[in-house]
Amino acid sequence: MTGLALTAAEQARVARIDALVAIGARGVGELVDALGDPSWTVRRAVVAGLAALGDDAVPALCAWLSRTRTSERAIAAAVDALSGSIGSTATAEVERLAVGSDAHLVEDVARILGRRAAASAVPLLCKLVEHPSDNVALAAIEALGDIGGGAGLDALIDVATRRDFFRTFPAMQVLARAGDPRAVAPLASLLADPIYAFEAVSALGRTGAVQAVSALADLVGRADVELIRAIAVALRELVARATWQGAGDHARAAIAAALGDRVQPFVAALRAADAAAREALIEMIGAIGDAGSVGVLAPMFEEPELRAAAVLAVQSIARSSDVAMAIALANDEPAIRAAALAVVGSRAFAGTVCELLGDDDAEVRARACDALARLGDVARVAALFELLGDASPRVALAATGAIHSLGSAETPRLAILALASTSPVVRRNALRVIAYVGPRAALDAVIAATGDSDARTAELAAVALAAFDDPRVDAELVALARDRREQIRGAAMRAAATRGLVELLVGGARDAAAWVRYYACQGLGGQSIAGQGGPVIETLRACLADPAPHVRIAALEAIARQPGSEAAELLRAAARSSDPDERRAALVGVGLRTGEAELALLREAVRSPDVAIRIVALPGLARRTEPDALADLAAAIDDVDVRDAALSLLADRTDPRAIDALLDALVEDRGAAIRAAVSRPSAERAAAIADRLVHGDGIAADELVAALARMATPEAIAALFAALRARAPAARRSAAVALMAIDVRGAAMAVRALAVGDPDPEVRRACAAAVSS
Amino acid sequence: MSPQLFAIFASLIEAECGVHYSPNDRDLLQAKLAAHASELGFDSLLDFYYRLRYDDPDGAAKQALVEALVVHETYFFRELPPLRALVAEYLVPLIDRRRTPRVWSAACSTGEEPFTLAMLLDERGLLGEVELVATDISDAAIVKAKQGQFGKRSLRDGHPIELAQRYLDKSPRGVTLAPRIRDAVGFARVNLVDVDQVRALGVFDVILCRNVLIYMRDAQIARLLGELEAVLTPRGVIAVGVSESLLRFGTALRCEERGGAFFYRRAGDA
Repeated sequence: MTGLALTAAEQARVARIDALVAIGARGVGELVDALGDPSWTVRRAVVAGLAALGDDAVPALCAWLSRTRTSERAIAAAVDALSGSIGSTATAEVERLAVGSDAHLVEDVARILGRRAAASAVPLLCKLVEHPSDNVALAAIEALGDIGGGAGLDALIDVATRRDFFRTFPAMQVLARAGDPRAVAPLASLLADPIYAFEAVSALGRTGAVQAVSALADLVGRADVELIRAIAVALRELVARATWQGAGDHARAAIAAALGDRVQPFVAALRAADAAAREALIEMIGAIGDAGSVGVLAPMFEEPELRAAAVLAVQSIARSSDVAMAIALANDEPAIRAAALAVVGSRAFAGTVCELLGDDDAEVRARACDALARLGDVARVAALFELLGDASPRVALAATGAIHSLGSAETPRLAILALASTSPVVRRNALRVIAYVGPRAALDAVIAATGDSDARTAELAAVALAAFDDPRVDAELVALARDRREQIRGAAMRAAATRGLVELLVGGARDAAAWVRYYACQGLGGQSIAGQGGPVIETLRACLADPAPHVRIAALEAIARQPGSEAAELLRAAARSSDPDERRAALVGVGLRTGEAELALLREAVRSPDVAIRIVALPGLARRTEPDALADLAAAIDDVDVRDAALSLLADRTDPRAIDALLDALVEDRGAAIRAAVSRPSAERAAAIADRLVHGDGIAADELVAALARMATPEAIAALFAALRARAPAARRSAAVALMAIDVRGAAMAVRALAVGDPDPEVRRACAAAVSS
Repeated sequence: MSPQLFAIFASLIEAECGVHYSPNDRDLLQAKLAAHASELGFDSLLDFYYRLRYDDPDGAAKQALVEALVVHETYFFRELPPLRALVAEYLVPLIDRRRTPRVWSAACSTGEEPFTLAMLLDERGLLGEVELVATDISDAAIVKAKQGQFGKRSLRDGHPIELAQRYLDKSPRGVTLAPRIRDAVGFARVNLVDVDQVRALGVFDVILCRNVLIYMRDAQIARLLGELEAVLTPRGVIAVGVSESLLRFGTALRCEERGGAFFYRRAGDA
């Protein structure tokens, strides 16, 4: 061990500790003596060494802890060493220390057993919950929480409901995260006690149990404004946890059913609430879905930190009934109209949506375009053409996109009419429509438009020519490739690429204007051209020396799509370019190839300080089957800037090693992004999770079960049923609770059978509670 | 928009104006970029990126992009109590010592913040005693600020009625600012990531940098704070938004509470 920040004396002591650890059992005595070293770094070394020595160090550590106990810092170090000890006798030896009368020692014992997640110590910890010393009881309660999986649930329920001030609060916290339906009723029983009501509300939220909704809803009628806010925060937490368990929709439905006529207290509690409470209140107002409450959300759109919650709430209310949708679409606040438009799904609202195309607010007009496209009412397409010249580019773009989506028989005629508009903006967008639809009747007008006085219109007309299946088009493009205007020549190259006109593109790659050469190179990488070799690769190679950087990059992007060793060699050379854009372009092609040299380049790139380079390397690594590639892909999950991309690529793979890597990541780091990736539907992943649950030791059973519940495919449901026969009780219990929570067919019968016949009493009780609630 | 394309755009935008887009903002950025690029004739965002990166010698295309991206999220009397505290606790004492304090509203958007401060000073008869400088990266925002004409959303619920009546003329079309207040603020275009532009403004007794840092990454914030400190007079103060705190950046600034609001000044200043 080296440590530049250590003093020379500390370095010497750490070196001595390393030496003592190296000689094994003989060094234990001196190591134990060093537990109280004044240097934190040295003590860390002592703790790590004693923990690593395992059974050789356990007796000495236990003896020291029970008799010597020289200082607080030394005691803390001894507790750490025993908590982390790899010795197989450590748990049993520590348990034996609990027979003494020294409450401080017994407290340490409880903490060590909790940190060791020692399931065998649950009976002892249940007894310690009743210890005369509050500190010991508190340590035992927390230890049961650390062990998890419903350990000591009855003891915890008993202590929580006894209302012993110092023990009830921690017991409630542990009960809340037990993941066991039996915890709900005792926590609910504390709601009536003003001393415990706030903590009980919060704990019920943390259970994530749909059964807790009614208890919280019942409290609303007699709660003051502070308690209402706490209830909102708790229900929000409950929905989040239920969503994680695959039961989010059930939780939201339960809230709407239980609080449907009681939105007013939540509205009243908004005034003067802090930001976190307001966010929760807004979410609950949305979940309750009272049409009359849409308007109260209007001021929330003025607060940047509340806007996202307000949008979701409006959408939730609007979706709840046609009346609510109509109210939201007619609201004075543009943000409310826009939010509702994003989710309108009934063609009955097509008329209203069409009227909103003329709204004063640009965002509303854009959303109305999107909504019309979604509603699929082709009769409204003419109204969309009216917006092709909208002052807001976002609206014009949305109108164009909606016209593409609707694809009415009227579209070609209207597009040709629009092309005759006096507004260049309308003409340009009409050409975008024509380029998408390609109506033969428009060809003459488009050819004429290549001479439009507006340069961008002419440019778009040239690009649009590619959409026509007509022999005149190629001749037009040859002519346009010689046009005096640079933009037109560039547009001709884009059209030539679509039509696979290699000769024209090769010529364009020698054009005097950089952007024409750029589009020509880009075109030479087109699908219909890739693989033609010869002049194509020669042209692209020449362009790698182009003075314009973007031309070099376009050439590399095109080379990336060319097969063969010559292209591969050019890409390998460019993959170490000092220009990040050149390097990225080359890496795309490198990632499509299978050689060892390419793998080395990808592995180097995934360690680059440039985020975009790291992201570009990932798809290449994901295509590889080598263990190193998979390891790098899995490691990228820890890279916050590329995490989503890495997870997505890993979740795309259905081979056993990739699935294992993803599941291992889930067990290590239970973040939302990993959870989402694991629960992406996949029969192979469901089978792998089932295998871990059925044959595993129950570690992370709750996470694995929740992933299946969120997946909710037939394979995932089958896997949950299979987990009812798991070796580990924790897996059986989690699967039973999840099956009841997501309420699938046959679940009640299977869980009822477990409630009677499971060999583990905890599982039987949990199943009985799940069935009865 | 692919993650790769998002990453290169996010990097370019951050280098240009300091605004950080996280991966969660991908859809938002795509919507804004697509409309802007389409308007300029680019159907491909990658082509547009190369135009910005390699064919924008005078920076006009990047400036136009920034104009399209910046958030003009402000209104009159926003976070009013700290502004009142600023006047009472810092500006009035400086004026009493026969100084003409210089105040800089950094990233003022369409100007509602410096105009609100001007109203508070005018209320005390001190408008002419303070030099008010307001800057923003957006030319369009500054043009709008100088016009003194605002939309209805520039005045929101809960505003101080008396002040609004005195200085703002409300009509169905919007809000018109009293010319006296409008003319009291000097506007300039300044990109906060451009050190030269910031330093060219001179030094200030008060810098308002409210609800700006929320759009930046920590490293960028730390750099900007260094620049703000450099143009702060001895004993000068920086004010940030009520939901923002500078303490986690390990800067040489210390927080002090005055009149119920929090301000920052250099640790070494008495």
